[in-house]
Amino acid sequence: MPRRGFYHLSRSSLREKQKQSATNFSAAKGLGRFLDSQAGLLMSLPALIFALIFIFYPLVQMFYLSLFRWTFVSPTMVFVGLENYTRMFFNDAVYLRSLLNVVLLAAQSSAIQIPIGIAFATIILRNRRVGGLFWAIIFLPYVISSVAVSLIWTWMYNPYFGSVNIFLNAVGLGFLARPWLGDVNTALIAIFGTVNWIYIGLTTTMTIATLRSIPPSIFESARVDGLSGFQEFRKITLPLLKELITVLVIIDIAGAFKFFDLIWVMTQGGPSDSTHVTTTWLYRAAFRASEPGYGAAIGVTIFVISFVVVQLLIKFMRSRLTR
Amino acid sequence: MKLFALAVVLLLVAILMIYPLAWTLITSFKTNRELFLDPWGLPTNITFENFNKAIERGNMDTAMLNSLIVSLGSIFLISVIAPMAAYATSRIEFRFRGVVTNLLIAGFFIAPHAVLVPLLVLLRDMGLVDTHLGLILSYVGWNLPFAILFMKAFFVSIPSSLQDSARVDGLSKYAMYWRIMLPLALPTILTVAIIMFIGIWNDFLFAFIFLRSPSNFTVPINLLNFTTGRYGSDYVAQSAAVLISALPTVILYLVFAERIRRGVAFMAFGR
Repeated sequence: MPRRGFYHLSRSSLREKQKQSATNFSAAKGLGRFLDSQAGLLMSLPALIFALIFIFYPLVQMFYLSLFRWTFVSPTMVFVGLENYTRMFFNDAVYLRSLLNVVLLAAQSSAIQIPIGIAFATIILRNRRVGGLFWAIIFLPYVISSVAVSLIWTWMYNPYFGSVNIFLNAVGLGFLARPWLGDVNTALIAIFGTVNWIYIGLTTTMTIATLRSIPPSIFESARVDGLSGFQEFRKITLPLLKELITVLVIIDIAGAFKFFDLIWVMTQGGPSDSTHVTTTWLYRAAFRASEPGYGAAIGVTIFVISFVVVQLLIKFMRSRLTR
Repeated sequence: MKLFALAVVLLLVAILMIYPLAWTLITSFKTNRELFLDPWGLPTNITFENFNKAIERGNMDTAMLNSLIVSLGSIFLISVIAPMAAYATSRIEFRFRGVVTNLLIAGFFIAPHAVLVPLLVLLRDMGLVDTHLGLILSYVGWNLPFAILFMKAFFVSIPSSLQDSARVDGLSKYAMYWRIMLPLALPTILTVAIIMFIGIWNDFLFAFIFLRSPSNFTVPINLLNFTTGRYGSDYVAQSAAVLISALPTVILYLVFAERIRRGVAFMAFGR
C-alpha cells in the first residue's frame, strides 16, 4: 500500500531530523515549540489576511463612503450625512422598482424551480440510466458563463431571427410574437424564462443531493408495505423535503440580491428602467452616473437585507454545514 | 401509457435545454445572410470563417490566455491557502478558533456585489486596477470562504484515530498536515479547484469592474465587448465566439460531471 510506504519514509526522515535538532541551540528549540503551539493560528493566517483585506475592510469602508458625495476622479469628498439614504427611499423610483423586481425574481424562482426541480429529482432517482443522461443535460447551462447564456437568449428573443417568435408563428400563436426584451410588458418575463432555464438543473441537483442523504432502507420498507409511487412520495419524500424547500426559498431570496450579469447583458436594466435589479442600479449609479457614494449606500441596503436573509439560512443550515 | 407520457415530457424538456445551444452551434457555421433569410435553415457550406473572425477580430485567443492566467493563478493560491486554514480550524485547538472560523467563512454569505465601490477604491489605492494581479487577489479573497467551508467538511470527516497515532509518532502539527492530511485531502482539493476554475473562468462582475484595457480582458467581458463593438450585428461571428468561450468549461463538465455536480450542490447553499 503506497500510503503505508510513504508513512514509513516520513518516520525515518523524522528520526534524522531529531538527530540534527539535538545539535541545535535551545533557542531554536524554543522557537520550534512556539511555532508548534501557535500552529492553528499560523496556518489560518494567510486566509485570515485575505478575508480582512478583501472582504471586511471594504465592508466597513462601504458604510463610511455612503455618507459622502464624491467621484472616483476627484479627491474632494463632501459629507452629506444620510442624504443618499433618504434619496434612495423617498426620491428614487427606479431603486424601489429594482427592489420589487428582486422580490418578483425570488418569488418566481421559488414558485417555478422548486416544484419542477423536485419532480425532476424524483424522476431521475427512479430511472437511473435515462435519468443520468437527463440530469447531465439539464445541468449543462450552469457551467456556461452567464454572459454567453445571456447572448444566446438575446438571440432567441430577437425580433428578426429569434426562435421564440418563429415558433409562435409556426404553431398559430403569431399574435403573441413581439420584441420580447424591448417591450416593457414582457422584458422581465423573458429574463425570468432564461433564469429558470439556467437554474432548474441546479435546483434539481440540490434536491437530489438531499434525497440521496435519505437511507434507501426507508424506501424499501415502504415498498414492502405496499405504498404506491405517489404515496411513497407524499408520505416519505415530501416531509423530508420540507427543510430543503425552506432552504431553497431562502437561497432564492439571497440569490436575487446577487443577480447582475444576465440583466446587464440582456437589457442593461431597460426598457425604461423596468428590468433593473438592485445590483444593476448600484452599478449604474456608481460607475455610469459617477455617484459612487450613492452606489455605496445602495450596497449597504443590499448587504443589510441579504444579511437578515442569510441569518435565517445559517440557522437552518448550521447542522449541515459545520457537522 | 403513464411511462410513455413521462418519456415525452422528459424528451421535450431535454430538447428545450439543448435547443438554444444547438441553434448557436448551427448558426456559427452560417453567414449573416443565411441567418436572416432562414433562421432555422442549415448552412449551405461548412466553413470555420466565423471562428477565425472571433479569434482574430474578436481577440478570443488573447482573452482565453488572460482567463487562463487569472483562473490558474487564483486556484493555485486557493488550493494552497484553503486546505491549510480548513485543517487548522477543524482539527487543531487554539485560542480564538471560533472567531477565526467565523471570520474565514463569513464571506460565503456576503454578496460581493454590495461592496463593489469600496473594493474598487481598495484596488485603486493598491495600484491594482486594470491588472491581472488585482483580479486574482480579489477572486482568491472572495472564493476562499467557500473553499474553506468545503474543505472543512472533509477534514471533520477524517477519523481522529489517524491524527492520534501520528501524534504518538512525534510528528509536529505542520508535519502532520503536510505528510498525512494534505495527501488525503488531494481529491477534495481537486474538486474545489475544478469548481473554482469554472466559477472564475465564467466570472463577469469583477472583471467588468476592475479591468479597463481590452488587452487585459478575460473571456466573458471580452465576449461582451465583441458583441457590442464594431461587430455588434455580426451575429454568426458572435455565435462562434460564444461557443469558443464555453468550450473549456463544457469539456471540464463532460470529464468531471459527477464531481462538479456534487460540489456545486454544496456551494449553491450560498449562491
